[in-house]
Parts: sequence; structure tokens; C-alpha cells
Amino acid sequence: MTEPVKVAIFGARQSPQIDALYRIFTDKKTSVHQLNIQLGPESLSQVTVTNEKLIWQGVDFADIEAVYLRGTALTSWPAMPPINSVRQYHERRIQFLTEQEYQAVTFSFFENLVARGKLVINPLTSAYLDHDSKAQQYNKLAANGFSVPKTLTTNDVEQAKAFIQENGEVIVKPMVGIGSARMVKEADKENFADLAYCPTMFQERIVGDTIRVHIVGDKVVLALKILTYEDQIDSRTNTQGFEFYQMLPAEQKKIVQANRFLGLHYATWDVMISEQGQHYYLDCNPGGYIMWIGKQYSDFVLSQLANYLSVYAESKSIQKASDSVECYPS
Amino acid sequence: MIKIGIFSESCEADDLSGMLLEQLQQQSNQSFQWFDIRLTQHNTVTINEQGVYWNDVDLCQLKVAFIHGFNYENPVIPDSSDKRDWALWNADSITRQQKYSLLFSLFSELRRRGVLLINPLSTLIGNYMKLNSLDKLSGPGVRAAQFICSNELNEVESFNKGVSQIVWRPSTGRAAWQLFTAKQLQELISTEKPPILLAAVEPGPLRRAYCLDGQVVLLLNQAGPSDQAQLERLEMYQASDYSIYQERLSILSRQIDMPWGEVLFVESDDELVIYDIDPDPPIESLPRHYSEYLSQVLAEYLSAIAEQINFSTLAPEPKVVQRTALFTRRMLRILFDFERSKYND
Repeated sequence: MTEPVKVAIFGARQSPQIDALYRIFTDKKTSVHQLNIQLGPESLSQVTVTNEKLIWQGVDFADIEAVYLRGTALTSWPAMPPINSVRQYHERRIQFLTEQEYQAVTFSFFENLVARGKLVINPLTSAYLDHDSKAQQYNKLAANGFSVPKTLTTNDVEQAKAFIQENGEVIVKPMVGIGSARMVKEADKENFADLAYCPTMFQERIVGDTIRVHIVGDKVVLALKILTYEDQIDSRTNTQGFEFYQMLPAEQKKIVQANRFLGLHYATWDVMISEQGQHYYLDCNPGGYIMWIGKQYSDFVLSQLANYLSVYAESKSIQKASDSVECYPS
Repeated sequence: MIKIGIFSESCEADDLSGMLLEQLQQQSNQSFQWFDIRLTQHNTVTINEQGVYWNDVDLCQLKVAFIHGFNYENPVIPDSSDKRDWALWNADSITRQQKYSLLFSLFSELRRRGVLLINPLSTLIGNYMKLNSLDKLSGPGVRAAQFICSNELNEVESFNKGVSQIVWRPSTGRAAWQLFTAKQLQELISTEKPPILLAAVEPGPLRRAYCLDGQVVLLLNQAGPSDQAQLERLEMYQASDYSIYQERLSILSRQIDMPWGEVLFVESDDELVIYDIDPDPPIESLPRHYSEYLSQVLAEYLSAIAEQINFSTLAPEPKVVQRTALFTRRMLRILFDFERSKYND
């Protein structure tokens, strides 16, 4: 009799990260379901939820014990693109309303799994919500002893001016998980009245190195210094490469605590290390794109993720799952 | 000091917020303020490590924040207004997304800093996951309706076989329960479309209970979906005695952390079979007799929280009231007949 498959990994169709993770499971001779998280005309996924059963894309989740989500995949845009036609606007708006129905089912499905005692290592209702409401996330982290840059979110011109006056160099970034950080320039200050139309997030600029930290379970499995041009503000822009970074054990312990605090078993974090050696948490990515770090590194991280999921699925022990994870260089 | 914050998009007289503000004024309460969550000009909001501020008001000083018309959305829905200059590129969807994020953070922060939210964001997110909320409901004498959420024909047909009559609605719950017949099966069940919620119809009267602070404050009888119903049944609102449901609905509303909201249920064989939970019911659409009563008890409840005193209320006068403004009955009957024709095979 064949052993039931106990792990499921979800991503968009043709997600390179999910494809790579699937290959790693295959190399480890562990069976896994690779599923398309997008519902609707593209995927034609069959989904059923009842009090007794959960089915996604024809897979009955009765035997599934551990799940990883690369992220959601909308059938609409995340936000409406610029439009200058009333009909197009409302046609697209319908897509957003329809998307609510897809996402309501998707959220329910994974919450239902959690309610049935299954492990979803990055649930949609924890850090994914934080990811799109960063103002409260920074405050929550700071209030619980985790170091973040001084942050102001406002649509008040005077508050913004005072913050810049107090902190000198300041960056501006969106409050949701899409978009880049940029410096506030002198020319920007001439348009500050526009703040009244759209609230904006400001942060003190921390000068130093940006470190990408990959966490699985209770371990920092890999930390990489992101190489950028001098004075580059957002390390995802014009990235020049990556270099292994040995994080101090105390800092590793602390960021793992932060990860658990946000309800996660896996995430990639962006940490800024100031010239004085102070660590500031810039962002937590609960789905975490990792293919940009190169095959050697990404395979290592995905391999640890696969270990965590498969050991948990067999043992139902978080401790054993975490013990199965190795840190780079192993 | 402002102790009660009303957060909504409108405070017109016929809006729940407007009614609440009027009631609070009548109760000589001086410690409330309305906050316009459209964040139009002259509404400056600041969140920093020190706190949350709206113009000159330190929102962390609030005892209670009443939220109306702020649902969980993913992705954030572009607004429905046509008032734009269509000769230009319009990109205010991004602005709306940023404002939504700010408000989500604001309410999260208030909760974290000890302000009572009515209702908490977790309850609103729970309502977004309607299916999951219903699945969780159970208790002595209370259960969720037998349901399925699916876009798969075989599963739906199998569910269909086991029950006598089925109703359906979208997975978000933002529609009335409607009859599900062969036509709906053909039109709605497809992997190209969103999965829908289906529920078995239970015999028994359909009732709407409005709950506040774990107490039922109003119970209305309602006609269920039917292809045989008289039009008039949809137009009448009748309050009933709710004392026999008090304990069970009290446990239920605490179970789902819903200080204020509506529960739709069928009383069947001494059990309450739940069909819906709504943590932000649009009471504005009720007849004035009942919407005024509910806004009055809501205002009393908010004042009681602000003054840290116990809240209690009396049941409303059990009048039978007709739905507002249905004078064009003949036209409506034609439209209802059109609608009803959908159910004819």
C-alpha cells in the first residue's frame, strides 16, 4: 500500500520557487502535492469545503499534515492600474469584487486547515496581514522589544516636516508589501501638500548593510549581505550580488523570536545593520521570494524548508521539525 | 476628553453613524466624536511609536471605537464613484489602498493599546472567511446549517441528493440566501467561477437576532427564500419575544468575539440553526421604528462603556412594521415575478 502524501506546497502556476521546492522534495524521495493557489479560469481548480472534508485541485486534505504557501495569486491586479475610461474602470472593479469571493474561499480553506490541527507554516491571517499594514507592524515589533527604524505614518504635512527635521535623512515607502523605498529629496518637499491626499510612511534612514535573513523553524538557516551600489536605498533595486553573513548567535535568537512572535515557522527578513552594529528590522516576508539569491543558496534554504515540512508531517513535532533543519554552511 | 469614537464614511441623518450621533446628543453625552474614514482633507492621521492621533485627538484615550462600513477587503476594492475627470489617467485606487492600510493599522494599534473595538478586526476578518466562521459555530442548542462550499459539480450534486431543499450565496456572504435549483447548478457551478456557499434548508421560522454585549436586544421574524411566497411577506417586520434564545445567542456572540451584530437563524426542533453572522449589520435599511430603537440602545451601550457602568436595556414595543417605501407594488410584483421565473425549470 502506498504511503499517503502528507505535505502540500502552494504557489502560482509556473512559480519557479515552488517548482524548485518540488524538485528538492523529489530528490529527497518525499512525496508532496504541488498545488496552484490561484482559483478561477486559469487554474480550473476544484475546491470543496464541508464540515467533513477539504479538497483543493482534486486533493483530499485528510492526510495532509503540513502546508507551505508561497503567497496568494490574484486573478485581478493587486491595485487598479491607471485608467481613463469609465466603462473599463467598472469592468475592472467587478474583477476586484469577484476576487473577494476567490480570496474568501482561499482564506477559509487555510484557516480551516489550522482549525483541524494541520500546520500551515505561514498562515494568511497572521504575518500576511501585517505585511499589508506595516504601520502597526513596526509599532508592534517595537513595543515587544524588537528594534525597528523610527517610523512615522501620516497624511499631516506638519508632522512629516517635523519628522524630517528631527531625523535628517529620511526614506519614504509604501505601507503595503509591494513597492520600493526611496530617499526623500529636497524636490519632494515642494510637493508635501500632496500628503493630504494620500498617507505615507516615513522612516529614518539607517546607513549600513542590508542583510537578507532566512528563517526556518527555530533557526536562521542563511543570512546574506545584499551587495548594492553605494548609497542605494532599496536593496532590491540594482542588486549586485550576495555574500554569506555570519550573524551573531544573540541576534539569530532574537530574530527567530520575532518570527515566532508574528506567528511564523518560515520567513525571509530584511535587516539593516548600522555602522554601529545595531540591527534594525526592515521587513518580514511571510512567503519570501528567494530565487534571486542564486541556486546554491536558494537550494539550501528550500532544502531546509522541505526538511521542516516533511519531518513535521511525519512526527507532528515542531521540535523535531526544527531539529531537522541545518544552518549554512552545514 | 473624547471617549467614544464613531468611525465611518458618513454621518448623514439616515446613516447609522448619524443616528448614533443624534442619540448620543440626546443622552447629553459630551464625550464622543465622529471620524471620517474616507480621510478627506482636514482629517489628518498620524501613527508613530508614541501613539495614534487624528487631528488633535489622541485616539489611544478612547474607551471605545465603533466601526461602521469598514470590511476586510483583499485586494482593496476600488470605490464605486463615477466622479472623476475621465479625460485624465485615474490612479486613486493606489491612494485608496494606502488609506485602507493606514486604517487597518490604526484599528490594530487601538486594539493593541487597549481600546475596545466594536467590532474587533479579527471578527471582521472572520466575517470575510464566512465559511470558516460558520464551521466554527457550535454549542448547546446551537449549530451551523449543513453547508458546503464548492465549485465542483460532483460534490454539489452529491450534497444536493442528501437534502430536500438548498439555498446558495457567494462565499463572501454578501448577498441574500437564494434558492438553488437545476438552473443555478448549471449557471454557477464551474471551476471557471468562484466556489459558492450552499446550505440545506431547515424547517422552521427564520429569525434575525440583534445582539449587543452578549444580550439579544431585538428579534425579528423574517420570511425565508421561497418560490411560493406572497410578496407581502417580504415587506413586514415583526418583533418577537427573544427570552428563550437569550442564553444560547449570548454564548454564541461571545464565542465569536462579536460585541455587536446580527445572527440569522432558523429555529428547528429546539435547535438554533445558524445561517449567517454579520458583525456590521446595515440597520439603516430596517423600518425607522426598529433602526431608531437599535441606534438608541447602541448609543446607551457606548455611553455605558465610556462611563464604565453596566449596560441593560428594555425590549422594544413589538410592533409589526411595513418595509419602508414600497408604494410601487404593482411594478415590484412584476419584477418579483421575473426573479421568480429563474427558479422555473
